[in-house]
Amino acid sequence: MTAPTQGGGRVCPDGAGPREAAGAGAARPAGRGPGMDLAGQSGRVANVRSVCLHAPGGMRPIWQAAHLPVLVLGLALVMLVAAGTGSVRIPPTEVAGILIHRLSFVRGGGAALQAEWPASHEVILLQVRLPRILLAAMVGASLATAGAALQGLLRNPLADPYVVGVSAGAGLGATIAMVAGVPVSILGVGSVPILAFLTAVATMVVVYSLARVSGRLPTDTFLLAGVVVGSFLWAAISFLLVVSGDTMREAMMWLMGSLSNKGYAHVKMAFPYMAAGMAALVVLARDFNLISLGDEEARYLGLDPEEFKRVAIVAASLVTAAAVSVGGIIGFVGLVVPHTVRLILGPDHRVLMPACAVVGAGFLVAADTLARVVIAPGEIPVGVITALAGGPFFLYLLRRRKTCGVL
Amino acid sequence: MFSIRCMYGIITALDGVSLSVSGGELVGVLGPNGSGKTTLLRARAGALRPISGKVTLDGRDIHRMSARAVARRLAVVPQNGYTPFSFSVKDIVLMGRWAHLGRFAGETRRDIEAAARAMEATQVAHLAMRPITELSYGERQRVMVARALAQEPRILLLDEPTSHLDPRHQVEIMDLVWSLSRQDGLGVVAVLHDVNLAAQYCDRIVMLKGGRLAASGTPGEVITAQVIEEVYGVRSCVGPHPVSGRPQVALVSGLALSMGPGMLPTSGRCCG
Repeated sequence: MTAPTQGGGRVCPDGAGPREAAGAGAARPAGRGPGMDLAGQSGRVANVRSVCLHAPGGMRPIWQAAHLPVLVLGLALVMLVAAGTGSVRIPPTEVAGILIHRLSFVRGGGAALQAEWPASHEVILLQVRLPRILLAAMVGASLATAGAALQGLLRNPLADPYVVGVSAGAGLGATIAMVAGVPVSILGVGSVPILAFLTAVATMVVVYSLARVSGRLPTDTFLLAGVVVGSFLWAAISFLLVVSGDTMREAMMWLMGSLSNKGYAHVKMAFPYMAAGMAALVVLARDFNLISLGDEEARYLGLDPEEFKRVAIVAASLVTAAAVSVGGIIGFVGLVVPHTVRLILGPDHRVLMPACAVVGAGFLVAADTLARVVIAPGEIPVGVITALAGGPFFLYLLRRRKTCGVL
Repeated sequence: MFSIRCMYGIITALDGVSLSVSGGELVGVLGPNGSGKTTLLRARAGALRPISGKVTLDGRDIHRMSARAVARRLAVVPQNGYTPFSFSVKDIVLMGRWAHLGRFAGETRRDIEAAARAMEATQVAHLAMRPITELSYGERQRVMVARALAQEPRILLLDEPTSHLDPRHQVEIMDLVWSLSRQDGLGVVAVLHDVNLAAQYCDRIVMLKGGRLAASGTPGEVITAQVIEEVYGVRSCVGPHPVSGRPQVALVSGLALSMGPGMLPTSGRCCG
């Protein structure tokens, strides 16, 4: 049959007509409501569970539907406690009072609530703690979401947002700014975050173009390129630190990750990139499920892997670059949070992405609060706290991996 | 698919091979390791762009179609589907519906029913809530077939669907594949290692050797001791299957020969 007897074109009668319409039917939100259980499957298979306590393929429907509100509520509580904690204690009721007063004042109807707290509390809360808490929440959410994205994309549970080399890139920019003492400041943001952001994005572009092989982006090449460029940049950072001498302490503090001395200007600078990037990652969640099966399988299921990787890597790297530029290199959040969430809620990225954002935010707000109170009035870099908490947890994950073979 | 030529770097993996499949037909692709079977399948699926020749689907050039449009018409069961993440079987099968979904739309009743039907057909419905990572190889293979069926394709490509399976599961998978082509009218192309299974189930067999077409036709035409020796380089006896009458191959090993001619079967077209 060297000559195609039927003519290759006639291989299948067109059956796509009725199917085209399927996607356009009743547009349910992408969330997984209890209604998504396959008819009749929900009840009777729940008892199968191995010793490894695997991520539940069949979460309890209530938890499935309610996890996000519960997590958001948890985040709000953590932020409330964090706002009241510090050298000046502010009780949670007062924090809530100040916030409500402030918010309704903006809308012009705040007369109902009498201000019963010292004015200094209001200043401390609104000018010092709130921007820092917001920034911690944003950075935590960014790192966790980007981590989940890269773990799915690289099909490697040990990947984190920094595998792309973005952290080293940002580190180099920040170190140069500190060592050279560039006194520029744009819209209230110093030269360090700005330069860090620019070099982080530049690194992403370099790694991406290095890893491209004839129009394709093989996952392992990408991983290797990130690691190699990262080590090269770290060497450059070390060199700069050694020759700089007196700025070493400041630079080390930055490299270990710290959210001290940050204000609304930093929040404003980082927010657009984080918001846009995270929104993209959440919208692409279903595609991440496909790509985590591998490039070729994703293609067979209808997803163009190269096109997807381009968008996903840019989104994840932008989010990471913005986070690193304002927070320094805060480790473990992007690794440990996605793992924990996956353990509890399962690997579906539609659930994972938003949940990671909320849990990552809460985790970093809590860690940053510890960072500023443990040795008050001194400060520990928050990266040290996250590593101290994340390190043992990571060991636990490795043990688990050894006994179960999978994550 | 017309006379295509595929290369990996400077290695020509496939040269001048054509393949066509029509609805209701089960085509088997046979050949030794490295003969280009999987390359042929990947080219047919559009995952590999041939350097010459053309791959068409519904009369259109497959490389001018979006991956999404291809996936609505053609599904692939890859050789070893693996994910490090413990998706439930239900989630995996529902991924087969991706190409049918709108960007912001969730699964509709129709999608869920398609997935449920696919799981019934492949007998994995009872595994719906199990993590894919905990299944046995045979179960996972059936889940992969279920996912492909959830795509509701017109053409189904399978890459060694029976490798690593015990005889019972081999027969089950092949029965399923056969009924898909017969009853549901799918065009099926299956890369197979087992010559006897291929002879028993396939309507047509394409035999590859070194990236070229070695033989093609009905099992009766292709499965002969002469072709087997030519393609695989082993001696064999070919006789009719006791039930179906399709050709079946008995390999003749050095050991059998050393036992003397008395040990060789006397019936059938034997050239041992």
